[in-house]
Amino acid sequence: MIDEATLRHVARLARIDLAGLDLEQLRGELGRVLDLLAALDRADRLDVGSEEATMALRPDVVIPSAPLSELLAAAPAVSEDGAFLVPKVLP
Amino acid sequence: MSGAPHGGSALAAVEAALSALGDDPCHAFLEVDHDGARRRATALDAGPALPLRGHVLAVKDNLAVAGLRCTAGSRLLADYVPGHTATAVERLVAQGAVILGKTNLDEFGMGSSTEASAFGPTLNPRALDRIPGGSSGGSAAAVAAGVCRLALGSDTGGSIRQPAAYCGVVGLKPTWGAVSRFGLVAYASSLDTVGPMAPTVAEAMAAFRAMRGPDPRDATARERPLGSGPSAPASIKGLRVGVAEGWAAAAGLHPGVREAVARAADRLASAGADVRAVALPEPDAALAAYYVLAPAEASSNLARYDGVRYGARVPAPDLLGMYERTRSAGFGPEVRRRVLLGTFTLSAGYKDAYYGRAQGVRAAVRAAFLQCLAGVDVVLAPTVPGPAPRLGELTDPVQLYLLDVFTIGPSLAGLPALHVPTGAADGLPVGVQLLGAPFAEETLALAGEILERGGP
Repeated sequence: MIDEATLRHVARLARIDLAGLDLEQLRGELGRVLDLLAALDRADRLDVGSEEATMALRPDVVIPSAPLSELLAAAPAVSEDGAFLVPKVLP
Repeated sequence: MSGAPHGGSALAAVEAALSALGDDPCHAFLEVDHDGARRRATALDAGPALPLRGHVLAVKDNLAVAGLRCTAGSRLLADYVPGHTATAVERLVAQGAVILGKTNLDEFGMGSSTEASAFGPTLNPRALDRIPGGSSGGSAAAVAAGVCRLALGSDTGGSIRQPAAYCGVVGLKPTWGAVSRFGLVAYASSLDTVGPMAPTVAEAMAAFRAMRGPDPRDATARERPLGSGPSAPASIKGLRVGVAEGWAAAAGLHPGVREAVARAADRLASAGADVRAVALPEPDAALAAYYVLAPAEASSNLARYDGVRYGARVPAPDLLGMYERTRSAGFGPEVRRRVLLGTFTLSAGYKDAYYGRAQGVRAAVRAAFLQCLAGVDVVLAPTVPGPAPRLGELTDPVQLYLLDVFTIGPSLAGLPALHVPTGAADGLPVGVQLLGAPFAEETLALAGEILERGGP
């Protein structure tokens, strides 16, 4: 079972606001998943990294990426000169 | 493909699909592109004949189609309209398929029932009180309801095969890397695959053949490696079929599924296959490894949904608060759980115990599958533990995870897997899963066509 302090720490790392959530219920659900993961202790394991690489290299050729206007169109807030807008970072 | 539907008229096919869809009583679709489909069909009918002309396509809503909303079943992307089209979709369209619309799914592909869609559940067309499975539940329902004969899904741990099983349609999860994932909303990249769902093996394979192959926009998409043997045996005669007897005898397996596996083995044997028993790795180890690795990758892939570049934003005075509020409001409970779980198993102090160990288990599971497949051409196994559960019946996340107990192992091993419906149990569809070595899709199709014909 994950204790509440660990849950709060993990939520901060995951950038998830826990306000308004039932933390007991969430801890219970995560705890039941962690119980399922106990099977890892009993299972056979192999060293990782010995498997052959499956990705092939492609020619280093520049191909056009999506136009800036298209990318900006999906964003919630943009500036007139074509930048993503975010709340003030430094006080 | 076995005879173009509607005499090859794309417009006739689109009109038939729209009429079969009606007001979509199963809620298979999140968006139907009536005008676009009719326009495209009219243009196709005026042009040269193409192999897939007359085929109407439903696209899971985690695959991008330029100009259509791509929600991935999430509130966070409710208004996201991409400007690009997924390679898999583009290749089907290039061969004459017409996109009818985008289908419902569990949010970001995380779920086994399509109940975890932010836009409400999909119903199973074979029995409206049952789940269609998930996460590609809308695509399975669109095919099962007779709206279209081709749908695209994605399969990370069973999301094509499991809904195909519950809805009684054919579903192919290709070899990892056989079909480009460019344009797929990423969930767990080391497991994600894109594949077809259709009423018949022949139609699913026609779509697969059109989609497969390398793509400069996805470095993991590749050709079938040279020296991996013939692309398909010429005949079922002498094909070595291994029956996963341990899995078929698993506790809790519905007798109808056990019987479906036994009947399928008999059919393949009487068609001339050399049928024998094989042992596959225990499914509980694979399940545990999956529920470490997939959420870990999800926690990383979903970091991009931060209210800056896509979708909705919940304002806050500072940047961190904006991230946190946006993600909390945008993600549903299952996605939130998996992101938290993945962050936990990757965090300092826990990474070796969970992520490192799960990687080792995955390597062992993969080696065991490949060893088994070195001795046989095809493995016959259950796809799901039983027929489709009722809507709302499974409320605990872990109960839902267990629906994928037989589909997750092949996903961890990167193998191709084909679900073929073979009959019914309790009035609901049942079928079997055929597994093969990497890039053995054609061999699976050969065996699958025997099973769907009901005999040799």
